[in-house]
Amino acid sequence: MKIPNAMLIICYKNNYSRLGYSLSSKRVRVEEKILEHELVPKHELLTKEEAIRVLRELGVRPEQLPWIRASDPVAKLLNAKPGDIIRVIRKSPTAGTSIAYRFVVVG
Amino acid sequence: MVESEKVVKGVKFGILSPEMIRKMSVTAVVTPEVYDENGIPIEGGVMDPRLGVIEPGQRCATCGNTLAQCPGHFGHLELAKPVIHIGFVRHIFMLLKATCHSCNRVKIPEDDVIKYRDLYRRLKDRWPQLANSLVEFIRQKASKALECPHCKARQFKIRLEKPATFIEEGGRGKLYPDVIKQWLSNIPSSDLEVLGLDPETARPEWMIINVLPIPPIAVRPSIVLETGMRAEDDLTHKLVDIIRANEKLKEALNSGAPEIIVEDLWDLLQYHVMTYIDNELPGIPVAKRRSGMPLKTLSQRLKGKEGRFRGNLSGKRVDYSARTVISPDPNLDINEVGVPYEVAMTLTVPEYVTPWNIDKMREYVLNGPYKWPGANYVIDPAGRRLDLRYVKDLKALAESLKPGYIIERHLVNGDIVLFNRQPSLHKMSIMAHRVRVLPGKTFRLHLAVCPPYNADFDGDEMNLHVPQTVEARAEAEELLLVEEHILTPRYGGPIIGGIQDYISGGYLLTLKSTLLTKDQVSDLLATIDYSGEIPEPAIMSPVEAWTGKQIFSLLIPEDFNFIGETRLSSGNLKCTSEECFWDTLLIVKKGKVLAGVIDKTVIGSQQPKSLMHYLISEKGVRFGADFMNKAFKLFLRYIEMVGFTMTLDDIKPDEKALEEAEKVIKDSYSEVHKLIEMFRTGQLEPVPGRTLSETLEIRILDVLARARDDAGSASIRYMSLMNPTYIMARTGARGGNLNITQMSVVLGQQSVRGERIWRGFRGRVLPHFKYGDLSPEARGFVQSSFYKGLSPLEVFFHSAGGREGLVDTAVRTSQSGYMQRRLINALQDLYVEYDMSVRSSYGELVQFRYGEDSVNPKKTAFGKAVDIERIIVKNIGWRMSL
Repeated sequence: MKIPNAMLIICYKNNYSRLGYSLSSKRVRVEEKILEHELVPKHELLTKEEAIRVLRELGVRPEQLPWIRASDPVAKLLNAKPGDIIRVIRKSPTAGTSIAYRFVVVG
Repeated sequence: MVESEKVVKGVKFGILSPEMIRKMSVTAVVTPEVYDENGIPIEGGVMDPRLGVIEPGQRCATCGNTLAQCPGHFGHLELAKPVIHIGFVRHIFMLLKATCHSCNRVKIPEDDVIKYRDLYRRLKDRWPQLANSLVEFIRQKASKALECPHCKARQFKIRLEKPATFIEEGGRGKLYPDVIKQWLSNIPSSDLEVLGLDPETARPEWMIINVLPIPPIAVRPSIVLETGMRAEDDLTHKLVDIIRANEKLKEALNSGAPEIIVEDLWDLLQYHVMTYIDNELPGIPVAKRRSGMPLKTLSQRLKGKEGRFRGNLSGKRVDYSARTVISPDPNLDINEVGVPYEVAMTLTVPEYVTPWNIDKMREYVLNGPYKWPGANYVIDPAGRRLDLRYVKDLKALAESLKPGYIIERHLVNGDIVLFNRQPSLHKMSIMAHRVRVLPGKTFRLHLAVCPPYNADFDGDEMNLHVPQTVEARAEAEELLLVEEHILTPRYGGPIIGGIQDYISGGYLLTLKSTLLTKDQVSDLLATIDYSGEIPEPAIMSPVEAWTGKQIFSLLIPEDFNFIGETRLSSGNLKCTSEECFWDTLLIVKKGKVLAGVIDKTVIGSQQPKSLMHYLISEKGVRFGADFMNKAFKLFLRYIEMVGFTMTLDDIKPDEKALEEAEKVIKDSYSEVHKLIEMFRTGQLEPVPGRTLSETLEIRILDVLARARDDAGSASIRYMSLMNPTYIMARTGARGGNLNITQMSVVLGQQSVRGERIWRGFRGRVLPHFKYGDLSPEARGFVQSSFYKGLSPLEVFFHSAGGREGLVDTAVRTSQSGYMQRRLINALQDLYVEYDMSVRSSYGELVQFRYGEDSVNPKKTAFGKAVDIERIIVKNIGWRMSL
């Protein structure tokens, strides 16, 4: 039987290197797949023009939007940098779909 | 003399510098003596007359003003040795850790200091949070350095020994406040900026006190007791302590006393200054008065519920308010409140005299303060206030009234007042009512407004406030009046509606069998001031008779349709079609009740999608209030006519019913014993995730609960449909089938924490049971009913269960109260902008659209913006699905 991926669980103190084992490098990190999860709403990065338009529409300065950290897994996946704006499109029990925006900050 | 108006742009907090304290001081306090032998305040004492006026009539020795005008003046006290300000211990600790003990610079390389300072300045205004975390990072980095990057000196570890002793481990040992002050004052201002301090307003050496400000006397007034003795304020006592300790220390220093003595006295001074600022410090004894009461010092004045902030600034005691016990009065309108004469003659409304009301105003003045409706004060156009209690010739005063006078007249019928019951958990807890002045000593309110206030009449008290300006009255009338709150924004349904007897009465009136004679119809219609035609009688011969449905229909507008199942429509009385025999489907077409009865689901409070709900939301709240006033009076009149009461016999179980119930319980007992037997022999299969004994308990609880329900429904089957208790349970007026069961058949399992009662002796609850007895009666199953009476053992179990409920409510209210407070503090300033977004007062976006669909739940049926079912019924009076 061929085993493409495997996770090794060792019942010993957390000291793999001393034992001489190394864990598979092909392991897929969970963070890389979160956008596919059904509970994670759709995120998109706005272009500069879009961002300016959105801000004008809402009549706010960027920092008056809710914030998201650049270190947030979603922001990292979108490759969002501080100063960017992310659009979140999510399902809403009251309105069907609703749109929200997040301002990316350092962190 | 009008000074130009200034606008407050901001408030900045800083630390007072010793120079500043000396500058604002009017006198140095030098002596612990307060009064001389004649009781005159000593100059240079803590009650020095230059600190402000004490007695009325006096003029201030500093500013020359009288008591009312003099703001009070600070003095100061020079301390012999500096002491640490307890409020700044944490900051001092941070600074000592982050700076070098030898060169007193921040332990960050010069290049980095410049880099961080630039970054900090850029962040400060736009990203305060980020600036704070930068500062925190710098502090940590600086504290970690083992060697000073500037002077290369080796760094020692600084330890804080609570509450205010700093120790340099391996270095100088204990750091005295004067050493620390020297250290702190050597830190360059440019370094302080990267540590998050503003050197302009808060130099760190000011955190060490060597000049103590003495607050004005107005802050710590002394009270003259009846005996003529003077009682000083706690702060004054504490200040005297400080001065005394300071004097002693000064003496010791001057006489060159040994170091240990000086140190002891210094510590004492430190203690007194610490407790002067905060008397609830952990680890040090609280300063007490001679009576043993802890002193209320500066921090205690500000902190907590009764402190300056929560007690005097966020919340205040107000004039023009009243509080008394409430009691019910069904003869009022729902938006009225009954006010006792006594209250009405104390609370006043200012009213301008105009050419149009001058006659009325003269009447009020003539009646004076002791006769209702009168007036308590007259204010003439010059602003002079005349107390009518002391005016000898009211007649002359009344004659002299002219437009421009203001009369503070008594409350009269129709005035608008705010009525409130604590806890004020939602906006319906404060509503505007119209005054109805009545004899008696209680506030009277209509029973239908009990649910929004959550009021009952077991001794509840409520508050009443009288708006004093036209604007306030207009606002109250438009926004706060009771009818504006019939529909709750929680789910859109009516929170004000029929309760208890209104429901029973409505049911009895609209029963199919209710036939009314002409006399009765006239009586009923007279109670609601009906002035139209009496409809054609439903029965013409042998005597003319009207149905109750006809009478009720008179209140419904002619263009109103409604179809809905009533509460009674269940079990074998269920109705699903218009031809149903049981009359439990309410059908209203073109304003006429064609079939069905009234019960809780039709006119009840907190019943959305009911007849009442749609009447109000479609015909308006004014109509809704009027409808309720009339319908409820009608129902009460009818229930009075036929008589509705409950007696012991109504809950007496039928012989056969009792037999059946006993059999059900006996069967369940044997089932329980079988379970116990299985448990003992190990045949019981455990439920997944539970132990064997837990499984047994669950199974037993289940069997017994079922037994009670079965026994109950068996006996309820035998009840007459006209049994008042049963009517109340079925219509939803009061009580349910469970209550009937408990009254007449079996009380059932008593529980504590959802378990059968097992605590008490080892292996048994009471010594009357065998060790390890798991049978129902040994673990709190009460087989008796309230009708039959409980055995002593059963009473014990019943009260154990009842106690839990009381404890629960007590615990829950305090917890949910605190949660409510925090929630409201967080949400109070949010508002919906014109673009439907929810914003904070800084303009930050909280929600991009209110509720994501910008729908006001008050104008919906259960949160749905469009109610298609209702639109169909409303327009064609017919429903597709039932």
